[in-house]
Amino acid sequence: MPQRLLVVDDSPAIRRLVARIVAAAGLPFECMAAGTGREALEMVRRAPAALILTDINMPVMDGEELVGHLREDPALRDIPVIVLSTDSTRARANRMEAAGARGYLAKPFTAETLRNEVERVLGNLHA
Amino acid sequence: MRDQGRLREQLAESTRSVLETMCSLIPSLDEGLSEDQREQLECMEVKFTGPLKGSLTMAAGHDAAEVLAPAFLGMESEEMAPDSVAAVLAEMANMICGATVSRMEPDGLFSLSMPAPAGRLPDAKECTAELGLDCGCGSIVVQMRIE
Repeated sequence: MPQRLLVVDDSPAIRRLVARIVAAAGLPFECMAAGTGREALEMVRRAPAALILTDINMPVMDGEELVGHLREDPALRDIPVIVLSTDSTRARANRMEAAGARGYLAKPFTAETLRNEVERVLGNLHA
Repeated sequence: MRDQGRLREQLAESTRSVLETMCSLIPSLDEGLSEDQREQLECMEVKFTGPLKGSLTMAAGHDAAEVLAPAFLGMESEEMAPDSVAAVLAEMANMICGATVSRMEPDGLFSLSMPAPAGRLPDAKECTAELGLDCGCGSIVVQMRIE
């Protein structure tokens, strides 16, 4: 049974897009989706995910707050998070990595770039 | 004072990168839109604050939006949900804005607003840089204003 990957973005269209890129990248995950950081937190508390791909700029709870809450929870702190952001500045990537994100991809990105970043974070997926 | 020519180049690089990566589209310059054509464009605006403060507006004609949106999502036109076209234009504006401000101030820390529909496209004289592109399926215009 494939492991769960959680895509977090407030736009349903972008959640579908990221899920399609995950499939195109040949990543062996079952994609779940959440529209806010808070919804994502509730979902992983019910059933942990192997990986979270999150946007930063979202209402209710943004990506940086989500990463902070995950890192404060002993049951969830080991879930790797890769941030998908339109902000490609080093300052933003450093800030998210300091908050606890394991990876950072600036949009736009290709399926190959996503796969490389997921493999850098999780190791070789052999899929 | 910011170099307007350099800003326009950065705007072009960002916009082309988004169109090529997400829509597999290589646009050409199109600076010849009439006032009537400009008035019919649908606009999305993203505001930014940080080392620089301002806004980016992306405007697309109906025909261009109807082609760009499914291409962006990797879908057929018939598969598109009714609200998806606006959501894609919003995300494209967001990507172009993020990519442009990152090029302008690579070490800066910016905050971007949620993209929101804007009214009519402002006159080119009201912005710091404007770029018109022919996407083959219609035109888009991208404007950057720095306060």
